[in-house]
Amino acid sequence: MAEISDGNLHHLTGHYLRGATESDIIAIFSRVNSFSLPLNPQEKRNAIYAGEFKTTVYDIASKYYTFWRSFNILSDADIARMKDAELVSELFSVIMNGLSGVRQNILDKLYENYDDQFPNRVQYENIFKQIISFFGILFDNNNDIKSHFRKISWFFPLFLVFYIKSYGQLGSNNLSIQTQPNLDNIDSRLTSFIDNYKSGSLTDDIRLLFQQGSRAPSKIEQRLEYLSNLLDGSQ
Amino acid sequence: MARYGLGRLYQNFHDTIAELTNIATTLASRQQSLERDVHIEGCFLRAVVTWENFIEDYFLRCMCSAKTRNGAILKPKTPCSTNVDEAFKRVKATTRYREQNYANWLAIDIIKQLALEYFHHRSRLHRIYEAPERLSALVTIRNAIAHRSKSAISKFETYVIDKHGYLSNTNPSMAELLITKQRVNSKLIFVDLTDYFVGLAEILIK
Repeated sequence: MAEISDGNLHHLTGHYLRGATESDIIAIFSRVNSFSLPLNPQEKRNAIYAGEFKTTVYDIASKYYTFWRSFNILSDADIARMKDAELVSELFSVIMNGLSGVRQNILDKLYENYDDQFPNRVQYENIFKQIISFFGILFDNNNDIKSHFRKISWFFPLFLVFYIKSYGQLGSNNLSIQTQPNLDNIDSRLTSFIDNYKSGSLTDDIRLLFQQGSRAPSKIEQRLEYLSNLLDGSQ
Repeated sequence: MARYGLGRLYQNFHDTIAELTNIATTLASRQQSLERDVHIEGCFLRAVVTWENFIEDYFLRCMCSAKTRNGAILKPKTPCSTNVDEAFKRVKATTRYREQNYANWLAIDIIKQLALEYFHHRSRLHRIYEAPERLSALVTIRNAIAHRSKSAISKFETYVIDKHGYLSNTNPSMAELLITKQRVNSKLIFVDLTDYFVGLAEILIK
């Protein structure tokens, strides 16, 4: 009970966040403070579902708050609009369904199908942990890689290439790691790709493909294929 | 007149933690090995026990009346205990560990209950539990090192991911987690936690 300037007593609800991390607190307040904007598809999924898949996605998205922010992959405004959860959902959906998994209807279906039970939660958490570690190590060691691959249109296909190289084909439901990628090789190949990109020595098609940043599945597929060949040494 | 002083208590705590931190920091720059990791993890466990001992001694002395380094007298709102043994009996009777021979000085609920029961609401003793996330990190990491349970390790990994952004090694030892650098201030997780508790101890005895 608190007395406010009108002289009346008002009930104020308080919540004590015991053991909450900084990312938990920012996530809560940024979402509370963005209530007046129209909902985007991810926010609608958040409103509709409360089950296992949603919980997994939001737990992971919030757990990696420092990663998103430190490497400037997502802004606080993006996170307030649940872009972190959307990104995690899309990555999981593509791993499960192939590149068509980025479509909104397939994402919705995923939330619906795994609302009661998401049996591979731990494996997906581990895949995410593993691949984010690859990114973190590369980003911390090489500023050029960080400044280019922090962009979602570059980050997204590289994440999928890491999955394919370590776990197997998209949509194949391989959830245990098969091979550890050699990060030193990857570092040097990505560096030479960025050098070529910056110096204009890539073909116009490839330069535009990475410059434009379209999220259409066909464009993601082309970037993924290019990066996959690049890391194999065949580009 | 106060029955106990607090200056030496703090100095012993400070010196032990400084030594442990120094060992861990030196070992952190060495090549990873089982021997190195065991020593780093041991240093952390010893730091946790050192904090528990400090806070128990501090609280019990304040229950009897104790003099801070600046000459202030800290005493309970209830009648003072005559010595720390008697104070301990009162504390034990207050907590839910009546049957045990110890009070859990890392449990926020218990510390808060004891502080509210015996000290004025403006007393500095309430600062002991002002950062529950730090106490919670101490317990999480201690459990991960001591028990190696999946749940404790996962909580510790989550703590490190929150502080560093990611795990530098996907199957890290507890020592590697402890010597991960925080992104915000480049301090080792180990050092950041011990620095906090040394700072808190300084506030409590100044």
